[in-house]
Amino acid sequence: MTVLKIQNLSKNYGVIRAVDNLSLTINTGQIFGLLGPNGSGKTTTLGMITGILSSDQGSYEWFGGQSKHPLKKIGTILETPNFYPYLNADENLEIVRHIKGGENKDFTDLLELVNLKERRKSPFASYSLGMKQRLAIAATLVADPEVLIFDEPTNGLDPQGIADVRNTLLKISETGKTIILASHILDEVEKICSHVAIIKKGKLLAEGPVGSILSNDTTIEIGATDRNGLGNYLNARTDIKSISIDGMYYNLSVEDGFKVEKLTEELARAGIFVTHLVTRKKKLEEEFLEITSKA
Amino acid sequence: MLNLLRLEYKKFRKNSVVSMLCFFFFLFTPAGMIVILGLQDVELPPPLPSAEMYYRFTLVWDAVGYIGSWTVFFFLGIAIIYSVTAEVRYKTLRQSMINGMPRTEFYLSKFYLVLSFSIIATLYYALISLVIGAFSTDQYDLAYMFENEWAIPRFFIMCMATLSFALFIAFWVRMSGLAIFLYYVYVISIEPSLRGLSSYFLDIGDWSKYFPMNIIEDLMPMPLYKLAGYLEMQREKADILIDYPIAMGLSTIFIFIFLGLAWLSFRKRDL
Repeated sequence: MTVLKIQNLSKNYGVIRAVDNLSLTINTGQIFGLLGPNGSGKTTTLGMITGILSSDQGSYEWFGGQSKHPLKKIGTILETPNFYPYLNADENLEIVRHIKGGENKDFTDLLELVNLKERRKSPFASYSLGMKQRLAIAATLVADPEVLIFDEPTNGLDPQGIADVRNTLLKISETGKTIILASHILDEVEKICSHVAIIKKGKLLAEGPVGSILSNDTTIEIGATDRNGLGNYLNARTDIKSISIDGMYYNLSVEDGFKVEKLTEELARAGIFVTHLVTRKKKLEEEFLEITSKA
Repeated sequence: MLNLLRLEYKKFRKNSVVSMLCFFFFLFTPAGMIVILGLQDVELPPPLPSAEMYYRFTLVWDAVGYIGSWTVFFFLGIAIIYSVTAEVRYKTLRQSMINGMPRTEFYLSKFYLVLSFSIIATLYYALISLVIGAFSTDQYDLAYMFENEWAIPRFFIMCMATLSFALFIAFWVRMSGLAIFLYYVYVISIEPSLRGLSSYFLDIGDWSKYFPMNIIEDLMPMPLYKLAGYLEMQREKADILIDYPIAMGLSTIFIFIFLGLAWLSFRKRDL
């Protein structure tokens, strides 16, 4: 079943086109990553589909247009956690419940999930940024929504805060809910998401299951004592798709099936002795950088 | 309606600013009468009546009403502005929309707050006037007690109009400091200046008193204007003040205009 259908959505801020003819479809159960560099239009897109920003063109539809108040079935964090600073966690969650219309007034399980049970009676203003973000995650789960939207949920957090939020997201992703996650942390997206869309300057560059976005290319990180000789040798080869330098080592992009042992053997024969060699599949981060740099 | 009012109560019951402003309203409305009490010892030249008259029926309705119009303006008006602008500052307005609250419901929740404040303030006004009047008047009957030229509905319309104006400024400006500044400055300085300038340059004469806040103020005018009647200055009174039925009708129209403008400011704006 289609949860969200976006058709040709556009938004301008003066002369700047923040979102440009964006079309996406998100289905039930998908964990959908929305990727893009800063200013690519991710938050503007989420703002439009959550009704706080008006669109200049195009349309979107939640749950096939079947729901009268679709946003009550969606839990959302957009940019920063927004709560009444003088109220405590329970009181703030109660306001969310009041708006969403859920029955359960006991938030113990939710606060336990985000590890805030001990501080539930402290005012929101006294929380650290990580605690605020975790309360925001708890708020998204109030009234058992069908869809969750997280916009940069680890933004501004310290390493411990990032780890806490990441663990919570992983736990939520196991519940089978539809999740839309806009994030810079590609490692996280790669671990959690089943589908991704990559946008830049408001335009959709790529979309599909994570597996289809990731190419079959392999990355080889290689180093040798004779660095110049190694560079000259690699540049002369025709079976290497791209070469880049990363500190002391060369990063090679090669097709799946490339024989690394043959490369090292030939290098040794040419008098270049390999001192460092790492072979790995391409990561989402590399694909992301490659796709966005082309656009 | 009750559901939305309950939500407003949950949001602001622990808010020190709103609590303090409401407390000040309840304190200063009767406390303002003490200022008049101080005048009791001042010997007024005849034919001016004694200041004690302000405590007696029927003038007590005008005296408490006049003080109440200023405490509503200063305290409840600011509380209404704060109830909107604080939600903009905390971004809870935006979060309410994200959580699925329709804009109409958010707007209605604030309108119901205006309505509730007006009802409570009017009941409080009636109670204070009755209590002070009952203790200060020697002889009275029920008919005489309420001989007040529709003071209770007038006070209610004054509250609704003042607070609707505050609501419009809040939704329009959205920044606490600027909204409160504009709210004060418009009433205290801008409108009186406009009235003076329009009267001087446009030669509109008596029409300059039909500016919105002046009409609303004339619902609960300074009791001294009424005393002008005792001094047989009825003609001058008619020149200064708008007749109550006209002021009530025009203020009601302004309530709808302010509420409409507040809705238009909020309806489609990006949050």
